[in-house]
Amino acid sequence: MTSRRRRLRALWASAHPTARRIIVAGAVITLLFLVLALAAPLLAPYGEAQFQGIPQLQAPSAAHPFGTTNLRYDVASRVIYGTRLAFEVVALSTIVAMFVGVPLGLVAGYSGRRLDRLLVMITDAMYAFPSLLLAIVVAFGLRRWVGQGVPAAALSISVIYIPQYFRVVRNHTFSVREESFVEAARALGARRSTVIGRYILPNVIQSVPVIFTLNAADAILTLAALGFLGYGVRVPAAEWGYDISKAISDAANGFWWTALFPGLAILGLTTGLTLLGEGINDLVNPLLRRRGVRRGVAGRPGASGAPAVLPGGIPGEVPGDVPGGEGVR
Amino acid sequence: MAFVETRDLRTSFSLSGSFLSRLAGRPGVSITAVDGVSLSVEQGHIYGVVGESGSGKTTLGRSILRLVEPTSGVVLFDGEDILALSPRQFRPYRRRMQIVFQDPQAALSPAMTVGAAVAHPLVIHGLANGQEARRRAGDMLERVGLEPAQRFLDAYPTDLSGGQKQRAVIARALMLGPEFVVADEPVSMLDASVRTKILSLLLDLQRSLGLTYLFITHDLAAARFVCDSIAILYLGQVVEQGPARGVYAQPRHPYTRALLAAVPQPDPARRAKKDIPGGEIPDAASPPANCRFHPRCPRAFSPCGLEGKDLVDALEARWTGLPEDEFAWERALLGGLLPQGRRLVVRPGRSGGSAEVVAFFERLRDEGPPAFRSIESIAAVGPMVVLGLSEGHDPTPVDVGGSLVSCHLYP
Amino acid sequence: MTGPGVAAVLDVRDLRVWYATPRGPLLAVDGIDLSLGAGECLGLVGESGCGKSSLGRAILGLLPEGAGCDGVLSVAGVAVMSLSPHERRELRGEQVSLIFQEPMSRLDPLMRVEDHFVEMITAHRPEVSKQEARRMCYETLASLGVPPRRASQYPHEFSGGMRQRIMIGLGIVLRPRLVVADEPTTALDTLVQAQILEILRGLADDQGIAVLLITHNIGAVAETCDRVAVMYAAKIVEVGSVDQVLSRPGHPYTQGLVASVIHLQSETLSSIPGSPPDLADPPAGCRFHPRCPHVMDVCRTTEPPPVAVGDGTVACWLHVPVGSHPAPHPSG
Repeated sequence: MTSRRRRLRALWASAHPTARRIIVAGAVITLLFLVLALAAPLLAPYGEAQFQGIPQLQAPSAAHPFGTTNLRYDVASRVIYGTRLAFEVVALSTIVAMFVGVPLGLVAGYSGRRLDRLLVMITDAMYAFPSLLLAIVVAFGLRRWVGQGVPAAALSISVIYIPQYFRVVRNHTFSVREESFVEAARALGARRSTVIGRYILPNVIQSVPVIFTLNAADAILTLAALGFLGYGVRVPAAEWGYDISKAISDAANGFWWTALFPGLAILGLTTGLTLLGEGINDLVNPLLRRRGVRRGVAGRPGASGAPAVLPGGIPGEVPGDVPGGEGVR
Repeated sequence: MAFVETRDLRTSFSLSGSFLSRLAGRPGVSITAVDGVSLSVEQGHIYGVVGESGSGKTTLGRSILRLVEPTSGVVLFDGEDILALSPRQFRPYRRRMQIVFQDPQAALSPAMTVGAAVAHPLVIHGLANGQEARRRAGDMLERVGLEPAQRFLDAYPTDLSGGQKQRAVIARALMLGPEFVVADEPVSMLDASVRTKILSLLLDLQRSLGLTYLFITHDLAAARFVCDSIAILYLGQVVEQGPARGVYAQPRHPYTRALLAAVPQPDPARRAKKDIPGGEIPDAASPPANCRFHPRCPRAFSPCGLEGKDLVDALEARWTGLPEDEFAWERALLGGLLPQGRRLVVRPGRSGGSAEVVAFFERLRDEGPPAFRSIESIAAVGPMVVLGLSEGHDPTPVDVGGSLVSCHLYP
Repeated sequence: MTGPGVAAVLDVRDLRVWYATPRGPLLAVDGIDLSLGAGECLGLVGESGCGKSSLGRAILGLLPEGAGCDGVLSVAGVAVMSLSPHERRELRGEQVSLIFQEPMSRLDPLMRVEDHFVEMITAHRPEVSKQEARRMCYETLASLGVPPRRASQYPHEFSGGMRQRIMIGLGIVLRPRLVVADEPTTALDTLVQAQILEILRGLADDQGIAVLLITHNIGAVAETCDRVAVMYAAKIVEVGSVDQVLSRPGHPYTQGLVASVIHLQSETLSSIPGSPPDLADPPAGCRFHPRCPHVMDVCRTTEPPPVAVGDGTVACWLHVPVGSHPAPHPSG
């Protein structure tokens, strides 16, 4: 285990400072929302759907920092409880999508030909559908069996993201399966499942975390859209999109706080997850990483102002002969 | 009886043709990478397969191990025809025949520690697990020179140098106790200084474990040093095979001779200009007729299977060496060149008619390089001149002084 | 370290080349002297990681971003380092050319071969007409064994060896004084390798071009070059005629290297114990001392100076009379 930790530390060390800042920023924001979700009952001043004893449509004040709604809900509490639903649905949907998309991608990439073509056709069709429309259709269709609520929203959202995991894993599997070590595994007599599970999967899995975070970000938006349209979530659960849909008429009448704060919550969590995803991508993607290294300063201590860098270098080329050892050419 | 034997082994790949040809319903091309290879390897011997890229040597190794399924032929392993077995019946044989790869970097999964990778063969076949497998992997690592094993068991391949990675690959291949190992260019991607160390290791292991090797390489000098017998492969066929020292001391096939003359040696005395055959390894999808080496062979003659396109190549080779004015004259005389199988149709150019063209080729046939001397007929047909070449036939292996040579020079 | 009395086409003195790495600047070439005259073929041998490719790049001003060099570097009398980028681009192709290992990646797959030539020729010599440029193209290709009638084809229609010849053609069509070939034959078949080496030899013999052949293949150098320089850990340890260096190597590293080459008469395998050092942290004193069978005390602390031996030089304390060995002190 220590060598894995060492590798992660080395990866972090070689990262460009910008990548590091992005990851940290994203992580902090996401963690903030996570804390809100976990400690909602402790942090929210009022109940999720509490309307007793709350004035109607009151502007932000000491008692109600984010104001109150037409239905006498405390906006701040609704926003805080909304994080719970957001995380629940998003986590469920991305995990389901991952556990369906990744294995399908592996199988399609390794087996190739007919099965691959079939799966690609299906997932491409799914991918081509406007995502929100697809989610709505699935949510609507699932109503009969799963009813409203978290599972329905989660499943309809997961359907959108299955093709993404599938495609990335499939493409990566195509290239990895040509590698010598896969052939070595076959030569050793490994069964197909072993080859896929122990030799291919660990080498294609790197792109998945990035997709995971970016999908999570997108899922927030999709959930909000579904809620806005009245699908997916059971009233009166706190859901940001649903709350915004209820606040539309308020805005026209000058009541700005009922829509603003849920909107900011959506923006915030989405941004946090996106930053996290982009930061991880920067870290893991070798091309971007190398750009950072080469911007370093050349020159030895005491170099007498010699014209250092000769331009016109061949981009992306690392000198073939750097650190010795029994080099592989 | 030979331990490992192949008889007329053939392995073809089909490539789907271009989009247009598929649209037109034409089947794709097929490449026969291994085309009728027969060899036999004695137990405990090292058998070398020498060839350049495109010779099929890599595919041959993989075909014998059924990592690539051969199209036809027989592979006998310890008397058993392994090609006739179903994949399930064949699986136990995998423990007895293993492979060491060319690129140590690519042969190890970047996501597995060296220890896990080397121990995995035991896990795959249910021979050991957990601590026991790890202990045995450690022993093998030390056997191949990676000591102390502790340092390497938990390392990832990127932490190792090229030579160390190759040692790990060898260790992994030996874990199941194979009797036969295909070494596919095991040292060609390593530095010179490391090369000899790994070769020494391979020879050591062969002696102490009584292994039989199929040593695939393009390095002639290494093959001579390491191997007991060798086969020289050209475009999927064996052109010469026999005891290693014998083949090197008295190369008979023109290709073998050319290889030995061409390979760079640290001997300044070899600086005199050599007669290296021109051209390159032809397209495997449409190999030359009969003897596949004939387009590049300095001694090619009628039975070798010369075709119209070879005459065109010979003309072009001739033209690159001619002074400007002569080239211009000949180019003007021969307006168009149309190879058609064993014939070359020449359309006379502006400067002369078919009579001049006939005379030109008659002169070339008398005094020109061997390719032209193989022209069987020169005839004026209408406005065109048709050059005919005789039918060639495939050379068959003939015993010449202890080696088998496939060349018409040795009928 | 000059060849016998010829005007130097390439003059390198105390050249240093460094790269910026996360661990700090790394010296790939550490104080090298080299010179090459017209019609001479010099081989630069060493294992991977010794810095020889960096030297080739530096000569052509093709170091990547983040790398730099200093010292004296002059090609055909022109001091390369004081040139502007524009002037350096002019230098490349006209005075000095570089031939790489993998020709396909350097040729534009969307341009016909003759267009490569025309573009290059007219870029450097705008006064030359396209027709004239094409003629130069055909002439050069023919001299390299490429049928001129194929010049209208695209690079992917040629085989590896042909592409290498096309690369060489592009490198010599403007009649440069110096050609640097960096592992030009590594990816090629044996027979094609021999053809290409013969071509390089011909450039020197017949066209009076100075050729610097950078390779790890000692056999190639033996058969193609007049002189050879041996590089180890960013330094040149030995230079001399091919005859001398290969049959009577003066430096223990050269001795080990030559002995480790497997050739058609080899009866034993030998190798140098240990492995080349990490250039970021080379040994003190003579860099080869940890692996040297003849190591002495002075070797561990002081770098040996190059000493004239036969027709070349060797940087080894074994060739310095014991009386003149300095008192061991930390090397600079």
